[in-house]
Amino acid sequence: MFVEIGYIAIGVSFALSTYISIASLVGGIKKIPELIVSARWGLYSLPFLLLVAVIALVNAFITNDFSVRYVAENSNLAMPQQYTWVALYAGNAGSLLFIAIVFSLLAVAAILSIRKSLPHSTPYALALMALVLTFFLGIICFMANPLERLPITPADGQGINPLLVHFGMFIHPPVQMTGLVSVTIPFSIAIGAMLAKRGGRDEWVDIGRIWGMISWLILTMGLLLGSWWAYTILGWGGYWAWDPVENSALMPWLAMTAFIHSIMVQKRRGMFRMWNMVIIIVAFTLSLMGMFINRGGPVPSVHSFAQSTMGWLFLMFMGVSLFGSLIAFLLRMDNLISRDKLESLLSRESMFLFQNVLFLIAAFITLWGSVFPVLAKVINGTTVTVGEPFYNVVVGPILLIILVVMGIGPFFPWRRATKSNIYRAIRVPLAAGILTAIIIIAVGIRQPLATLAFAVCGVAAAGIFNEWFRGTRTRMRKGEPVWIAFTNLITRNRPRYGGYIVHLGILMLAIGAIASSFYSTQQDITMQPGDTYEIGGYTLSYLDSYQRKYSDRDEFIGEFKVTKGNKDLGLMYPKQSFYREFRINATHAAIKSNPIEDFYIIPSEFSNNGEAIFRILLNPLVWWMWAAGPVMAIGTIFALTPQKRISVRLISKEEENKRNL
Amino acid sequence: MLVLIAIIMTVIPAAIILYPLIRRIGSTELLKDESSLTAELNRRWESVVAGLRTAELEMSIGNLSEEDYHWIKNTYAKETAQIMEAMELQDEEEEELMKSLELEIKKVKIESVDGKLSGDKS
Repeated sequence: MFVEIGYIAIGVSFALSTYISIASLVGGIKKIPELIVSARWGLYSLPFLLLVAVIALVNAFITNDFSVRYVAENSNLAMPQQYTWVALYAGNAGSLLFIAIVFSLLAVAAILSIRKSLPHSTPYALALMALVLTFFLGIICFMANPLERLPITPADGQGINPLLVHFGMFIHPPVQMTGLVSVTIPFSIAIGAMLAKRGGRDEWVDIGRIWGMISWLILTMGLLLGSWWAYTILGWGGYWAWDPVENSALMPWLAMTAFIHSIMVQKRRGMFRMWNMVIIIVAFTLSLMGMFINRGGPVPSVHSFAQSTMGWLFLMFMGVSLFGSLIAFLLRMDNLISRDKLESLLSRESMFLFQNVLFLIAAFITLWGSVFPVLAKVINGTTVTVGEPFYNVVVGPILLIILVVMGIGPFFPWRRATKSNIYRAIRVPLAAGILTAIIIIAVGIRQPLATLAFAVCGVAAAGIFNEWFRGTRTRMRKGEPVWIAFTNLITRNRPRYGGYIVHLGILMLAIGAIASSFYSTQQDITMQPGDTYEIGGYTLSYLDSYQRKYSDRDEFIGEFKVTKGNKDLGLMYPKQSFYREFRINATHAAIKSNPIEDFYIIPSEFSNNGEAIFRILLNPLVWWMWAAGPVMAIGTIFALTPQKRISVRLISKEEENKRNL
Repeated sequence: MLVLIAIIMTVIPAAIILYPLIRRIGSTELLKDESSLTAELNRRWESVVAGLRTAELEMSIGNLSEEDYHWIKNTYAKETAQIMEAMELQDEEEEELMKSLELEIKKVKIESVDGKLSGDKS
């Protein structure tokens, strides 16, 4: 009966969200406060209804209720109980329900945060959020209900996709899906303000920036967790393959990165009003594109577990929302004329604009690379693969220029700067960059592109540390002790210094990516138990191999003893699991990771006599990429923490006279 | 049982959305306007303060020369003056509006009291 209750909850949620979108829009247009409050209260009750549906589905998983189609397709008796959570969003219907509940919670939080500061824009923003929710709930109700019953109950289910049986799956898919759908919040706030004929006075900018940064952080974490999952479970030694689904998450991230920077210009100078609207529309469209590709889009991908035939619905919704947003934009363009103009090309504003353009170019090239194979197939009937070499050649240099801009951009003051000023501000970072290049060449690294990339990272890192040093020193001159001076420096301008912390995270990510892309060592070796092999200063001894049988899979495990010099690094167990039902081989790499390099063993093939083929990789500095995640999270949260505001209140003449007395 | 639960699950959200309509809740909903001049002036004031703070910081750490700093400071000072002037004007307008409103209210009160008195007499 629990399942039926959940079923009803989904139906009521759909009806309710339809009502919210209509009531809110009508309330906003006709200025009927009661209708607006009614729609808002309706939104507050939505998460509870969806929670009932989620509990019903979780209960069906826990009780192995295989009469529910989704449970039968995504779990079996052998599935470890803790993977019930993963199974919830392992397939298309469940992931849509997950997106719906997460989005309803985000929408509630967003509406609570804007309803007092943006009373006239809120009804429109709410209507847009509810419209997106109605779309998801409509699909769940009519096309992919995770609580749908089967006519005949099977004795056991098909089981969860083996690739999802990994710790990373507890967090990567939910964070990634939340990230994609969270772009809707700043989009709704911005477009809501525009529809309400607000926005021309930057009303929505403060709160839009906050939600933009929250969305950016979730997208960043989703991308990093996905890379970590690919690195540890997919067993090919890499973390990023320019797979269409990876690209689909990267594109909105690029657009959102552009947005959270350019919104600062609008906040400070009342400029880029149209530009910011365009960027947030692009980001929202790309996030829908991401969901489209993920959910049965036409591009083949490693993320096939979430595929369905309803990708085209997402494409249609994307087209309609893009068309609608552009029409609204064109109709309200007159209201979005900038307050100020660019005063100089040598200014922070210009750097933001330049960086924005680069981000958007990178996003569109990635989009082009992702959809080109499909277009080629449709137009010419030819099969074209756009892979890593294309992106490395085309997107790689753009990302490098973005790193340069990230390094030197913060030295450009707002409004205008003189050349001598800029030179004075960047001479230390430039010297550090040259020194980095010299050191890299001196240690024997001769690849020009890698040297250049590291030098750019040197410029950016030196710039940040140099500014921290000079800022602290200035405060120390006023008599503050070093730590107090440093703390005061960064806490009194949180958006700026939070941003620097995020930039440090990006640099850590870049250093890991550059080092592992250019200097990774790879060796395929065939070994018998008892064999020893030396690579990059490591000695690995293949001790033995085992085979274990489980109800759903056969596991082949290799046992290695690894030493580096005289240091014993312990035992390593790379393994391969063959899932009989799915006919899938899941490879679990064994990794010894430290800040210098990762020692990575992937089993390729096991034979009965114990002989096996292994791929050994030495990936330098990859550890820094995973460490970058928490750094970026800390930086973003720090930048978002509220700061004391200096408000102005004019005093009346009588008050002034009283004070003077 | 299932029918009862279905009814409850439908009735509760329906009651939640109907309550504000029946009780006419939300009269203060659209009173404040984010696009009002006061709100705009406050935002501009905050952005000028932030700009001045940043310029001072940039100057102290050497990103900004004395000359550029003074130019930026003067520009912001002009903006500050404009904002304060606008605020003052608005305050005066508001004060006048309030005074005229008070006068109107007084008039209405006097008229109603007079009306009552004349009614009593008749």
